[in-house]
Amino acid sequence: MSRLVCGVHRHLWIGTAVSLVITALVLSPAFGEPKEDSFPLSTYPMFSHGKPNPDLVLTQALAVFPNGDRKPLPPKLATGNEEVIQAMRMILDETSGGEERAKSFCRDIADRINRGSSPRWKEAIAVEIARSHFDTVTYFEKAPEPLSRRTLQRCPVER
Amino acid sequence: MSEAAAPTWLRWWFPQVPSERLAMLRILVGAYSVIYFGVRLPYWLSFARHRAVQFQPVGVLSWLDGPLDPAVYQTLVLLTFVGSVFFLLGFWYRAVAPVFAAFLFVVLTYANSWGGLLHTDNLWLLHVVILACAPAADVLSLDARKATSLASPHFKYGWAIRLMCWVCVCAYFLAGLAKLKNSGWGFVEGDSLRNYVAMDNVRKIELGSPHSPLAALFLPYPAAFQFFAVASLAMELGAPLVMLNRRAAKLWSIAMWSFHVGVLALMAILFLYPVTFIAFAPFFRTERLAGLLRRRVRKDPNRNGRALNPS
Repeated sequence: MSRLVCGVHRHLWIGTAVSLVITALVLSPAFGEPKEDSFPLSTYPMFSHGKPNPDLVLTQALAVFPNGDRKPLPPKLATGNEEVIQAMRMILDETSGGEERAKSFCRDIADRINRGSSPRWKEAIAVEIARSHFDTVTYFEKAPEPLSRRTLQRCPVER
Repeated sequence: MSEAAAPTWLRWWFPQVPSERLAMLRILVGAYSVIYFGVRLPYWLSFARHRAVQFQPVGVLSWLDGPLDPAVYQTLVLLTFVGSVFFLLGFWYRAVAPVFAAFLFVVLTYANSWGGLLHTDNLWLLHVVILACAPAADVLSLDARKATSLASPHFKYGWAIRLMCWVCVCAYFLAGLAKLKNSGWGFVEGDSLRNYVAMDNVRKIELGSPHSPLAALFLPYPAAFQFFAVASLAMELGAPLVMLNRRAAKLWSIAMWSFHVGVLALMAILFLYPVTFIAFAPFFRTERLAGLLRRRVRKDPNRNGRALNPS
């Protein structure tokens, strides 16, 4: 009988302790700064800030083709990371960390294109890292072009 | 303490539920873990090859000065995968499940330590941690293969399910709260949401990633985004209330699932855990799935003359 009571109490204690600890941890981000985020305890701030205009300034990696065409490189080829959000942050970090770091990053992308087997990118002659400004609603309604684009780095794809 | 003497809130948080309900949740979350983690093994392993300058540790890894040794990290990833199989099968559960949860915690935190934080795996990880702390392998597991009878309904199986539901609604409530804190009630006008949908799709296109072809169809209709904004904020802020009513919880689960399908359709953002509906499974009587599973394993449950359901 006493063993049974002991077992009941043990389950109550474990259940209560785990529930309280996890609840406190999960809700703790609500009492912090709204901009602070972490993993796995999060404020889930994605798409929560007011966005009154459709502007987008994006640092992107582009493949340059012999006819002058420029095509955005997929995240895996641009950064080695297939997750687009992480790739976007990586490109931004690499290009805002100084000239040498940006050049080295550009060469890394060119190397990945060179080593890659995808025929789509075989014809690329150079990599450009550019900062582009878009009106994202006009992009869909009129023309999928940037309002302006500034090249930050350019490096050849050497074969 | 007898059940009748226990306070109402205690009986509510520790409901007597069949052991199969919790075990079935272990199987669902475990199957998700094995398949999702297994299919994405190259992705998890790829973080061993990233440039050290890109490392920005978060959470429990914030103290790290630099990336882990690639061999150590890759071993951890492989052990996590093995752990997910043991977790699914309920094999040496009391020892292996907490270790699997800890390894998964580290691997997912490490994968989020390279710039942008993703929010797609948070709830999955929390559910694994809760299940690892609970007796979720008392039935329908390799550990229970020699058991001659099913464990009877008990409160020790109830709290973990209640907690899984609770962290689920908390996650959505926090997302709603963030919108209020960061945008105020102006969020319900829908302009921000419309601009975000347009922006997210453009950046996906311009970063060479799949985007939603549906977004362009909806963008000319701002009223649609006002409806989406009101509906999503109401479902998120109202989430904790559904803990009080089982039917409301089921309806809310279906509504949230529809919300995630909508996000997938409009923004090409896949929250796989909710989209598979496993995130919402704790709100349902999952033991019924166990019955189906068993009927599949033994085609005629009455042939051996022994009733299989505890009732």
